[in-house]
Amino acid sequence: MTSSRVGMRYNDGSGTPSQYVKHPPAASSFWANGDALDAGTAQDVDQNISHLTAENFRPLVEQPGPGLLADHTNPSNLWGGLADLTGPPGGVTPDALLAVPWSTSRPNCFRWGPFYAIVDNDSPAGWLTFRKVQFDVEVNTAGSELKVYVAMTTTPNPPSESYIDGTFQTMQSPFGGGPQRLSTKMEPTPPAVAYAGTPRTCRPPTAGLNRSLSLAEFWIWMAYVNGSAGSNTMQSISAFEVP
Amino acid sequence: MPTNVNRQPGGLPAGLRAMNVLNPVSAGHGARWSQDLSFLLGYNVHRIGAHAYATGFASSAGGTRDISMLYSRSPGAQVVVVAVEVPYGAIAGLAQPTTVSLPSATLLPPSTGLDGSPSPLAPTAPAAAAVHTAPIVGYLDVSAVPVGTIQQLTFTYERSGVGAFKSIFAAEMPLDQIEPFGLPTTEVGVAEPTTRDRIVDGSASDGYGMVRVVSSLDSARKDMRFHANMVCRPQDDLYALIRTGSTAVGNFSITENLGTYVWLGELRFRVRRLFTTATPNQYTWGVVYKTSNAGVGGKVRLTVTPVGGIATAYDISLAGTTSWTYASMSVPLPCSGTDQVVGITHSGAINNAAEKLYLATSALIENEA
Repeated sequence: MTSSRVGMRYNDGSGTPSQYVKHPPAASSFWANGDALDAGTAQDVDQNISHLTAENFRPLVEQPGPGLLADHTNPSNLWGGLADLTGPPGGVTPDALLAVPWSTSRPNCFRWGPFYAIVDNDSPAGWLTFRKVQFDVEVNTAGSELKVYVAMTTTPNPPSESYIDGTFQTMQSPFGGGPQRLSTKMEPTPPAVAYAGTPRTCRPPTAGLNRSLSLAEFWIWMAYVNGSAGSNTMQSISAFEVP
Repeated sequence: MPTNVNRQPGGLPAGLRAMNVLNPVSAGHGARWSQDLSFLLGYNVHRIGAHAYATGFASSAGGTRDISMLYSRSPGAQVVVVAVEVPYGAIAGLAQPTTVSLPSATLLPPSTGLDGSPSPLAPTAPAAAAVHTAPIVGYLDVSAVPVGTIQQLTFTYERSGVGAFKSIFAAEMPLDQIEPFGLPTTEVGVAEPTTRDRIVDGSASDGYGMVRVVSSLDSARKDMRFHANMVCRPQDDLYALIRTGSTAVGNFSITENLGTYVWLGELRFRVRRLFTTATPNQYTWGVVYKTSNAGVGGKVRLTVTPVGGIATAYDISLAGTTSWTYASMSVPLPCSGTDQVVGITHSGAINNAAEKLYLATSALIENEA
């Protein structure tokens, strides 16, 4: 766990993996016998809470496909017909972030969310930020090269407008690369408090308790540019939080 | 009095060495336990599923199209947020009725539909030239949904003959406050002791004390279930996963708007390591399937491979049925893979090569004892 917010565990720093320590069930008379709480038992409870916290990294995306990839050998397949958007001028190598239109109207662009963020990851700069996310795709590039772009945003708007620093990544499969797994880690760096929260409903009306809360949210994006007509495939997409 | 839910662990300094054998234990530790348990039970609830499709699913003869996720409620979750996105296309400007259903759950007002419209929702399709289609969000009240029972959360698209769903999403919502003291049977967490309080024994019906701390700790271990909704396809003979042409176990075929392909993919996620590396995490694997002939069954196989480790296969035997049907089994997921990551692949078989097996939903949901 790369969070200073997680408490100590028994094996911390020893090189041996920590684990949950089994304890008497809550219904046991062990816990309600009127005796003072001994320090050893208190340590077990304390480190078990820390262990559950340290292990709670969530799956985010796991899905098949999308299988056969759209053909972008002609740039008009990528950019044509989109309101207010044009591709880079001919002969100009685009900035990676602007190499795709990031339009969910197109079959080469995917957006997942809204995920709410757990802000307990220590950034190198010393503040707490969003958790890291590993992004995996399985591809088979029988034809020309395939480029896959991923990013995280804090709104439903595309990465080309704004993305979380440290999360925009490019993966590339070479010409004729065959079946392979492309993998990258999105590592947010900014303080999450810098992002305005989104108000969300969190419970039905309950006397005396808040019905909504303001959450730091994120969206995961993926887009690809496929330089082959009808032969490259993508078999699976996975994204999950990692320490 | 309500307790604010921590949005990170570690609200107070913690340290095992501060609890010295033979010395009294400070009530301050009880405050930290309460805060971290409120984080684990009230804030660190789970995403249910997230799928985005290359395009919407093209025209179908059916009047509606259903896509289901499998869901097992966490004890603290009161609301599930759902979001859908509908694609642009020839349907631009037309209303596209959409509903989301879950047994014992209702869409919360003011949003009885997904965007505040009366249900069934009728969002207007974006113009064909639109760059971005906005997700439509709604909130399901799940407070009456039984905890720990696997149910189908179904997204229904009601218009026949046009594309449906560019993406679907569902997640439990974190809580802002809990009230374990006043509402111990319906609220999660532990009423926080002040630093001058003693930690009392408590009882099963109290929202405070050591009994509550330990029951909450157990609940955080076994009731906060990871969800991996791996396959979420329309319950439709064309767009569900299909196995046909052979009685042997083999790969499914998938049809999307860009064509049909054989699905060879491995899905990955990180598994919790609760005990030793050799102790797997317990999951329930559930599927929603049907067959083309009620008299011909089949099987669906999940192959589990810890990254860098050895594959193990698990089969659910499926009875023949022409209705979409739920089936399940227990599957242990190893945490022994590199970085505790596990790979999952699907395959299936039909007992008569002339018939078809359809798989619309496949999900792994944590089920620790």
